[in-house]
Amino acid sequence: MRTPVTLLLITALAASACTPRHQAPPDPSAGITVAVIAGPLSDPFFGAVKSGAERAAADLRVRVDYLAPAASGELGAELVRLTRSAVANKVSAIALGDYYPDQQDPEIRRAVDAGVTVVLVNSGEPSWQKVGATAYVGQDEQRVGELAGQRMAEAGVRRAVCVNHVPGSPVMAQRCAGLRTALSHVTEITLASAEATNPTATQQAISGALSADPLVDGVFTLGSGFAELAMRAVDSVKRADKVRVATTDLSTGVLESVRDGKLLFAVDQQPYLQGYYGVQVAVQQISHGLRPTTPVRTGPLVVDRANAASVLAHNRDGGIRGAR
Amino acid sequence: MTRRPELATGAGVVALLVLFTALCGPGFVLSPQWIVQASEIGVVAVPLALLVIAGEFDLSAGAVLGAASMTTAIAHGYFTAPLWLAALLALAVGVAAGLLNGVLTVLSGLPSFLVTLVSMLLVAGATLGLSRAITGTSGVTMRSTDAAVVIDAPTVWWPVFAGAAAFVLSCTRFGNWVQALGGNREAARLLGVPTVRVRLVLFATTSLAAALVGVMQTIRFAGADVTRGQGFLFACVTAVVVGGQRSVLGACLGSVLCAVISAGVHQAGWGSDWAPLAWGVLLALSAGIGLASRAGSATVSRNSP
Repeated sequence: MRTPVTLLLITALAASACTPRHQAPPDPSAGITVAVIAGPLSDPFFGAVKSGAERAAADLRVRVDYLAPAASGELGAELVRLTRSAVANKVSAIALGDYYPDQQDPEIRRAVDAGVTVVLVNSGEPSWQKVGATAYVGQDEQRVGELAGQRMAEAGVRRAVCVNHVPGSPVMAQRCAGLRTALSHVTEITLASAEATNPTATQQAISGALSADPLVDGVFTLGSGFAELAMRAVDSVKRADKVRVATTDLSTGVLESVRDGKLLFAVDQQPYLQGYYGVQVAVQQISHGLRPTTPVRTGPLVVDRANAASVLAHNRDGGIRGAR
Repeated sequence: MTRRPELATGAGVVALLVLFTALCGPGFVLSPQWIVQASEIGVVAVPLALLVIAGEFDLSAGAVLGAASMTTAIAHGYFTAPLWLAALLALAVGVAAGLLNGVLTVLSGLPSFLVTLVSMLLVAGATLGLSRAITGTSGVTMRSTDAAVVIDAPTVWWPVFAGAAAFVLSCTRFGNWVQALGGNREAARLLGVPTVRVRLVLFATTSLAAALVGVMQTIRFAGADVTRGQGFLFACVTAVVVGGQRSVLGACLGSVLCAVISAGVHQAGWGSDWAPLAWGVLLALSAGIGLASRAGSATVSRNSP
């Protein structure tokens, strides 16, 4: 029962992945399969990455497979496993996030050596040239923190808390480090995963940090859900008039709060574009040998009171900006 | 002390309250930020304690919480159903998941630890898949809710659950059945205890409580995402185990202990770097107390109300 199915799958894979390298087909992008490897779809942010990649696949008539580690797994090790299995399945290209460079870079280099076109998306600006990737599509994470810090300083913030909900992730650490370069005093609080998935515990952790330091006048969160919790935490310790909250990433709630002036701003990196351009770059490289020469930056794009309403209007188009 | 492990837990709670009040000022006990978290843990820890007393376990409570959260958010925020209907749907999802746990445990005869591990994966997976299939995303924002205070009142629900459970456990025939089941299931069955019905009710109540917490969190935080509840189960299990796994009072004290530690670590300004270490120390201490009490109570009847 299983053997014919496996055989069929192998035949289908071989047909879809190998044919264009040996023949000269009329359509240069025919038969291309791009594996997109990024974060778990339980995070709406990555839902937008996947939507963008699928739109590009439909526009360019190629095939896209979205692969992601389980939300609670060993992320670095699982990303390496996914990369290895994509290469084994003979995909034409891999667009992936380089979240844990120490663990992932050797495997990415092996994929490049095996002849797979690799594009780093969402994370990997420091290493895309080192590993031999075709391009990097994403944002400079350090710059995100710097920009946020500058904008918060302009709004009068002097002493800020940076809420890190993924301890151990270099991306989150870079954002907090960027914030530190622009503001004179930044404390970082890290949420253990048991706290990060429980909104009551998260709110309490943030309000606890505010109680511990009465001089704090700014909170910077690194995910849309955490911004909404931070605003509640500020209310619960009755410092809404003193403490300004800002965040990375968008949701409907975040956009409405920015529009209403309750949230200072939100820094967007346009994950839909990262998925779209990631596939686009890979296909152009395979079909025509064309590639961008510098990182393709989809962020940081600041959404503040001036443009929140227009972004909100587009957010209704099915998770383009992340969460509804 | 050795006969009533919940007294040891109570002493631990008092010691922690004194410690954190000294560190953070009188506001820590007078205007407690931790009371809502303690209530939410307590609402689930109380029925979970009854389940544990009856010799069963439920690993799926966190996943049910997430499923109920997304049901509420999708029904109210996406399909614009009235809030009461969305909440009822979510609670129905909870009861259904609990009955599934009960039926699978009874039919398969496998340990409920394994059965509910399976149902945890099934429920969490179905929540993610259905949410993305229906709404295209895994996080949904609620419409504005004004008339939601009635449901979102954890500090009311907790005493209600605890009072009802304590009464049932110590003053009713059902309570005797629960304790008999935990003593020896085969003996209980031969004595005429309806073992299947008791277990179905306990599983359903635990999942209903988890769903209720999910509904409350979704209303209070104006939305939900599919990762909700992943860390919640851990706190509930800790509360039950630390509370001595014998009584409702123990589970309630365990819930307070968990919430106080969680709040205190942050309010004292130690930095959350130390929170996991504090959890570990707490669990080690509770295991020590439990061992000591078991050694001392070998001749005392197993369950005290």
